[in-house]
Amino acid sequence: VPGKNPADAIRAYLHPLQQSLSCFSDVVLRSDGYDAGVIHTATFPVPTVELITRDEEILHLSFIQQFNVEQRLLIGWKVRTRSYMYSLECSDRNEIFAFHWHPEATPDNPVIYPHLHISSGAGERIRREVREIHFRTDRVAFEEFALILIDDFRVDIRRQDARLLLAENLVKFKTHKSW
Amino acid sequence: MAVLTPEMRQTLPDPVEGEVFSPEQAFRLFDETAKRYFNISGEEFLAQWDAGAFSDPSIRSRAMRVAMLIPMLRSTSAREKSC
Repeated sequence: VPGKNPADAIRAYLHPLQQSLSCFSDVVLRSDGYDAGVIHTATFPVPTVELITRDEEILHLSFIQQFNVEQRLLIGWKVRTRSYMYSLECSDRNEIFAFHWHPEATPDNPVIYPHLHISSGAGERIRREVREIHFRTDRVAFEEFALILIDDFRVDIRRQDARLLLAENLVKFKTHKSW
Repeated sequence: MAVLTPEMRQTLPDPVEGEVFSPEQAFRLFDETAKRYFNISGEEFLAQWDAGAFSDPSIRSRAMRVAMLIPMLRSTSAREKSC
């Protein structure tokens, strides 16, 4: 969502994400700045936040997005997402699954396309090969991940309008995304 | 289906522009994250990351999770130096 200045554009970017997170938690997202010309990180002030399923299982959510803000001709300042990581973990800290996109290639990161990890928290008998595959995906919005948490993992929601809010924010994301 | 009313929107928590990670908060989060996923300090993680110690596919996802916080360490300390 474009803004009149860098800080305005970053606020417009973080607000729907915070709304979507409010479906599960009252933790407030925090950025490391509101300036142009820098790659910023938005995440929780703690490594993960606790979720509770309708079966009273405790799970953990992790969220990180990196972004910068750019001036676009005629439309003003707009945030561009540079990477994301959304993951779900068991109470014993083992990751169940995660959507990643971190396209800056390094020796430790040869995978530059958006991908899905299926990890040891998904089951003891998951083969090593599966745990090591980077399953190629489309770009995944946080709202799509959030809907999996609600519909498939039966995570308790904190607001009755959670599905409606996530659907609204997903439309907003799809309207403004650049790829 | 429930409707998202203006009143409900106003009660949503909103990130506050003034509330940004300080260098200390950024490092604390990095340190806690390294301890959570590798049981090592943030400083130890940085040294091992720079030495390329996380190329094993079985730990790469967790390592990237911690490493994603490294730019924040740099940006918060650069911001403080420029003030």
